[in-house]
Amino acid sequence: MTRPKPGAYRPFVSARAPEGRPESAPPWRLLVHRQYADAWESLADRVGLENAQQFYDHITHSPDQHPKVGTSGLLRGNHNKGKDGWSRRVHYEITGAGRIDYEYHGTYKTRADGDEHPVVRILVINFGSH
Amino acid sequence: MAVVDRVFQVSDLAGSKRRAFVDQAKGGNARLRDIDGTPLVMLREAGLTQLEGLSEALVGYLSLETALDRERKDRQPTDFGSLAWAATLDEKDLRELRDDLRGALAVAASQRDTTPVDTLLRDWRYTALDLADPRSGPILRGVHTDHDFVEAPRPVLHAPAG
Repeated sequence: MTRPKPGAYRPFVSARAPEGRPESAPPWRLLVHRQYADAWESLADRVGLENAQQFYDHITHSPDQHPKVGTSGLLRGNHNKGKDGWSRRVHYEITGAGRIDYEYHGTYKTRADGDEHPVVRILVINFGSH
Repeated sequence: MAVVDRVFQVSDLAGSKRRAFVDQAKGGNARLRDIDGTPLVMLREAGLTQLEGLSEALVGYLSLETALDRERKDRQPTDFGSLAWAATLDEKDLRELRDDLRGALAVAASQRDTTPVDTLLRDWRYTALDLADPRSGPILRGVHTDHDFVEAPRPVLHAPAG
């Protein structure tokens, strides 16, 4: 058994939820592009837990509205106008730490005969340039 | 009735009209004539900032127009002036940016507020940066299937604080 490092105790950090999931599913299902799955996994470590969870709460409840925290806007140009029912692409700035591009679809079906459900897809996570 | 085009004299600033001068500046602008005849204007700092922003955006628009007049192979990023980040956009997007910027400038000038221009240029700059990036560019330009995505759980901390 390994002992925790000195200073590892963080009294104000809440415990991780069982299996990393909230108790109930949010209204919008959230997906991330495979190439940015690692970036998503490290999001809280990179931008802070509060900022990361604020973004998560916003995008899984009201991806089609301006956030109460942080800023968002629309990506422009031919590639970002939205196709096949997907929205125009949105960029969301996490205060001073990064930017995330996403699109959403309110009635998405994974199969032609499948159920419609609202989905958000994260396409890009950028921790660098602003 | 307010006299909006009143011209103050330098001597007014030392007397009782000083308050009227400042109030008029806060309400829009106040004109002052120096003793050598030089006309001066005082206005809110935000007003000056907006004028400077509008001027900069207009120069950027003109640079974009000039760059678009050249063959793509003959263009340099410096041809785009303050919009150098736009050099990587394809022709269709460049022309859309030009049209968008022209519209935003007209709105900004009529409203005396550069917010429409600032917002537009921020959106386009992020677009250009992400499209030019070797990792994100192909994703934004590509066609996607469900297999390209995985579930994104609620974020949690992993690294020790420190």
